Amino acid sequence: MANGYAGKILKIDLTTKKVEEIPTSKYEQWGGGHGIGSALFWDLCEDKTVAGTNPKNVVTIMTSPLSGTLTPTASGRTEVQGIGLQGYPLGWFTRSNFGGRFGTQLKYAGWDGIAVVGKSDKPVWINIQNGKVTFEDAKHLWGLDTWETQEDIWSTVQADVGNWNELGATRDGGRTTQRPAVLTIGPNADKYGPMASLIHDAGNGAGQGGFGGVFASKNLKAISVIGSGGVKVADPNALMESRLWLQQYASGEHQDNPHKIPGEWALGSPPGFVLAPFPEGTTTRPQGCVGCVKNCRSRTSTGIGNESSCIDVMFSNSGVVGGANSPMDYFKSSDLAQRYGLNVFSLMGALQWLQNLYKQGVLGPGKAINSSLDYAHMGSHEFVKSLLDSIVHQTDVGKDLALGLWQCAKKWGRLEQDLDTGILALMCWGYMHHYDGRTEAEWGYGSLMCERDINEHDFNWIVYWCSTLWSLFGYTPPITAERMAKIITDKMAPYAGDMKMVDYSDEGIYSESMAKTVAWHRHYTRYYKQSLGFCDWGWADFVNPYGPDFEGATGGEPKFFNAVTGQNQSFEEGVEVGRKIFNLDRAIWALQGRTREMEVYAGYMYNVGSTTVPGAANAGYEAPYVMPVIEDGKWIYKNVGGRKADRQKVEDWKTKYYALEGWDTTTGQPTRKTLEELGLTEVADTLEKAGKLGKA
Amino acid sequence: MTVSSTIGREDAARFARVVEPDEQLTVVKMAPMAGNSLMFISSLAGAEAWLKPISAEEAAGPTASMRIHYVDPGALASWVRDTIGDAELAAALDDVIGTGNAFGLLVPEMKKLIADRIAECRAVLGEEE
Amino acid sequence: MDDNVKKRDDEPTEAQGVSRRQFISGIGVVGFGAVLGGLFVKGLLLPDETLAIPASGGYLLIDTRKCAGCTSCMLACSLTHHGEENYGLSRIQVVQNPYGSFPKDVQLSQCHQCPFPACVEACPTGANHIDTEHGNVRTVDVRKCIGCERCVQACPFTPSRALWNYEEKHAQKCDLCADTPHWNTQGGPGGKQACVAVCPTKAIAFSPDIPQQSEAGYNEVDLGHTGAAWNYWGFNGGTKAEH
Repeated sequence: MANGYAGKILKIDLTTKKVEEIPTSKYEQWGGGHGIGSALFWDLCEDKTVAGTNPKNVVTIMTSPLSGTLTPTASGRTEVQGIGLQGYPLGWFTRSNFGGRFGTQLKYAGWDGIAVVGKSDKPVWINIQNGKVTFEDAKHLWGLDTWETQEDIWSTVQADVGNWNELGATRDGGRTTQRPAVLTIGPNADKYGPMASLIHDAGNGAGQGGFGGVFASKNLKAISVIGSGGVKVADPNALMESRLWLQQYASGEHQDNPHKIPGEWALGSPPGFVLAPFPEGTTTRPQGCVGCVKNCRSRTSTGIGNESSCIDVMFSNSGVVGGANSPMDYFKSSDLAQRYGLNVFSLMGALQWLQNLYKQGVLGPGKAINSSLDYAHMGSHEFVKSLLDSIVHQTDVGKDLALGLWQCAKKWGRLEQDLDTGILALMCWGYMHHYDGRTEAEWGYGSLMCERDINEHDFNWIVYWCSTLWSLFGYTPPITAERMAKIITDKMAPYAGDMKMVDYSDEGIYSESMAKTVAWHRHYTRYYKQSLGFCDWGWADFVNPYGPDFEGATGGEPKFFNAVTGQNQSFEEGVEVGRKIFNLDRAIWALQGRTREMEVYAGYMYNVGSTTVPGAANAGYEAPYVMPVIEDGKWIYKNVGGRKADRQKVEDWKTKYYALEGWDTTTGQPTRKTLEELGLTEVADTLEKAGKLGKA
Repeated sequence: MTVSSTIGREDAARFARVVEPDEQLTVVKMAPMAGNSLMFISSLAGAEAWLKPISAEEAAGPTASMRIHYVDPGALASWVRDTIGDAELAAALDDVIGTGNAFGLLVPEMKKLIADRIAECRAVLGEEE
Repeated sequence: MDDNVKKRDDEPTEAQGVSRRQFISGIGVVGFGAVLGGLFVKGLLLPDETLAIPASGGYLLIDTRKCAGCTSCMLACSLTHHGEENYGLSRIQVVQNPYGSFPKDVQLSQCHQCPFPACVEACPTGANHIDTEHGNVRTVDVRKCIGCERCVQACPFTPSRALWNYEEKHAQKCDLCADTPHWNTQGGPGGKQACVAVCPTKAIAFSPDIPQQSEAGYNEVDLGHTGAAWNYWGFNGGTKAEH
């Protein structure tokens, strides 16, 4: 059927070494990616309270109908879900995702996704070639880094990349010139599981959650896939036209006259925008995931820093002092983190925490926490290498850091105190502070209502970065705060019309309008970004300097979905599917033991005002928080830095939010009424049996 | 500039001094969204040199190559008052900060206030510019 | 050379009047074509017995330095021709090495629309031919293809620019979008090419002029990699790190 789906999901049982086909049609109502992943996890994981290292944990690796198609920024993304190892106070059912070309090869091999269950008796890697799936011995790969592993598997699967190779016995099985796509973990990743990521090619990573550790616990080193098939599209001409329409919003189409407005944009940023300058003299190309229109990474003339961008590069360059901190240093450090398959957000948290402990005289040679690393030169690649080596080989402080950040702090007897002061800036759920919930409330609240740092920049690009950069430069904003609010809120169906949804004033962040913002954000991202795969670096494209009067492309997502699937779904209908998916996630967390009382920030968020004065609670790469606010009835851009989160007001806000979502305001659990109206009666029944169903 | 025109020699020496390492003001060299490096300011002269207005060309340049010499304006004023001991200069800085203008617009004004005070100190101490 | 070409007495002297079958049978007397510059080609016999091969009305030029490796060109090619996203059906191929150094990390393989097309010459049925109705683009008439893959073998480039369509069981190759039933836009040398249209960095261009017959002539063209925007965005090493 020409609807973008391959038609079947590959279930791999590592215990029995058997594979099974699950028809995708059972799950198409969930869209793809996260939606299907959550639904599959619900069905396949009998006991949702198991630990992430338990063989009963189910890991899903899921594409969408848009994967492998010309849909820009969605074609290349793949969603990973399962019970993770990173979360606090327990490993939540969590998500990550990664880009590149793995999802495309999976689709072309004839699979919409993979569900991995069980545990292999010895190290294996999975070899998928179209419909042929085999379990290969990974003993010789287990100690190799992620790049070495991939090169070894490439040479095993496909000796003559770049020439036409038959995948079947005859030419009727199709041919491909392509290199196999591999997803792998780092060297002996079982030893640093909670910090371990999944890496694909040079720099695509499912970084957070500890999925590298989950793979390792299953004795699974890597999955390789190569396909010679294709994906049928319902309306190819409409897909072409939609593609050409969206290209107008990207810089590549405007090379005659690129915009020069400072700011961080979604689609409107330039290609190859890795957010760090390269060493002088390095030349580069932009590099992107399959089908992308933005192409945000690079490959370099030195081969150092390939496909790394943003936090990959910034983790060793943010808030640390001392040492020769040069561009070559931080690109070498990013390459090492990719090779080791380490969570770079956690590494940034570790560096800032250790720096604080060192400054306090608590850490160092012969100190209370004995460590002989060269803390006087933390900015250098030599130091970063010594730290990463210590984690991978469990020496010095690395032995305890390998347990995970909060786990390490607990072992050192410092968890509560360091969370209270913020020198260990794990904002919530054990995830490193990314953007500040005290100032950019929708980021903080969204993270609280989920199970991790949300890492969803939809509002952040515009309301925070644009506003802040214009202020830092003294640049006259190209749009007023009121216009910014109007453009954004007009796109937030079904809540469009309430401009206070982006009022980040002291009152605004605790309002009912902010509850709508968070609800919309959860639903939009669950569907469009995490289920259909629209990339966080292209969407939401609220405001775009190339758009008509600065209006971006958000709202246009259904053009692609409908062209590929042949459906006629509206933007708002898609957001509603996201609401359904989010409620299923809340149900899973409820079964895992989630309570309202757990949904709180770390102490420093309430105790300390947000700031960029280094040394205090997180001053990573953030800049002073200028946001759109309503003050004396007027919209202005204002620096809202210095705020603390008010504990009681946050609790009051949570009550408003739960009510808006149709959940029990005492527990935060979904009610039967809400679940049934979403078609989730069976979920309501299960929650009720477990005593976790919200009361109306 | 609303500081007085006469300061004593003792005050001038105090204002112009280099502070102890544990009294330094921490500032941040920002590459927007591309990492921050911590730096330390030990004197009014250091603070004046640190404040770098951004030109229109630089603001229009590629974001990755931008460098912003950031200091929390309130922290700067507090440091001037509490560590350097110059209440008058701190009050003048507070006035500028109180306009609520964007950071980029505060920078040239704060820079000038501090530069004027440094010149005054040097004149009083009989030092050459 | 002329000794190898014998003109049949009843063969029309005007090139336009020559039917393909007649032309093939005429040349067939002396083997499989006329030798011209070392290649066997099919051409037009002009009145003065000069063999001339009409050049393609268009060529794809690629600025390899701008390519982002997104393979949008491959996706657009198979989509517009076959209604399906399938790398194996794409008439342009991009292969990359994630660990390679720029600019050698990406290989671009587009059809060169060779002035002396070995694939056309190799085809025993005339399926792979010069399409005079579409700007002399070298393309495969699938009705005549017998699946022998001699064109695939004959292409001097790796990967072969003529490829096997395993779903429909015929050879195919780049036709500059002369025949794109799934795209409502005029293609061919007189129209638009899907790969050119979708390239997000504008790394592919259509040219009506025969490029220099070398790798550089097709893939080391400057389509803006030394231009103002590319410099502004820092790809040419221009941004200085201040530390």
